[in-house]
Amino acid sequence: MSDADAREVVIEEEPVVEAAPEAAAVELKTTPFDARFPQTNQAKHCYTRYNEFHKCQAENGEGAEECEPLGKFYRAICPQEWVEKWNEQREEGTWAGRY
Amino acid sequence: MFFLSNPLFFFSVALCDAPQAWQFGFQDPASPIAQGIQDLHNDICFFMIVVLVFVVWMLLRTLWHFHWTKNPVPSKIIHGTFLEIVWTITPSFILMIIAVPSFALLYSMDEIVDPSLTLKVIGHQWYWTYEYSDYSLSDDGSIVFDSYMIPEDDLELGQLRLLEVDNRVVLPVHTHIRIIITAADVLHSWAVPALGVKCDAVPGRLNQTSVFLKREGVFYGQCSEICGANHGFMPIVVEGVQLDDYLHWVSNKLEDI
Repeated sequence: MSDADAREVVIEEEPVVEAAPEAAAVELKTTPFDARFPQTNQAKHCYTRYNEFHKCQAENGEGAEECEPLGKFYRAICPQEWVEKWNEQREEGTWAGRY
Repeated sequence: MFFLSNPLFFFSVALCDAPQAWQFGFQDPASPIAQGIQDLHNDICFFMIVVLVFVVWMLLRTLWHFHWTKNPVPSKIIHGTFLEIVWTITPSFILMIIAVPSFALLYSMDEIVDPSLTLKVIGHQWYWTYEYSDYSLSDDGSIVFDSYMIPEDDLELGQLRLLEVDNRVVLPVHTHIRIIITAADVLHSWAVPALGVKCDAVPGRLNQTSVFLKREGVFYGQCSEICGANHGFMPIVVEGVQLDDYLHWVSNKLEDI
């Protein structure tokens, strides 16, 4: 195989190398098991994670980087409908939680 | 070299992941829990057959030996302390032997092994909604889709009547998966026999269960809690794929949002 051929092969492989990080961007990670909530019913787990995120934001400011993982944790286990309802309550000022 | 250790590799076997007409047995297990349930069923059947044979033998013996032609004077025995102790202790002993693997399985089904992804299942009248929110950075960035049954008129050749859906749940094999099941209106139940999962969907409750797919396949299930007029027309289809394919599916879905 000549040098020119070898270069061609490398060029052909390039798109594959580019596509790999794109697929890897999806990280296989979710809310870990929490010993506080060993029950089958995880409703309280979801509610607590949601509150923990807003507590973090109240303490560190809106959009603080350290709160991002906490945001992922509650989103992973709370149904979207519940989160929407709670967000609405927070906007209206009728939210029962502290934060 | 995993595939070489799998005996199915050497034969062309179509595994049964959907119900068949006149089916008596189980569907082929696709998760360790489903395997455990079927093994326990078979083990308990052994005890059942031993007890059944013994009881039938006793009944027939009694009918034979105490027939009025052979035994004109009825027995007047009304008490037998030793006999009563024996027929109380023996069944309770058998029940205790059965209880050991039964409880082991029961508690292992509740076990959540450090999950890698969470699937949310929401029962509606009369369809299922699935949410994948592990990859979203905002409250409206989740992968959410509804899964409706394909009506009989729209079925294509080879598709299963009353079991096929428009959007299947895609899950990776050999991955610990947490499933959170709930409902938005009335009681439903998310059940997939081949995966050994049957979990009630209750409004206001987030029931957690876990699943680990041992192989690829398309697994069929149905709503298993009477939920109204179209209870029988909200099936479940789980598609088990390789992890790479799952990641591709997720990134495609994320692009669509």
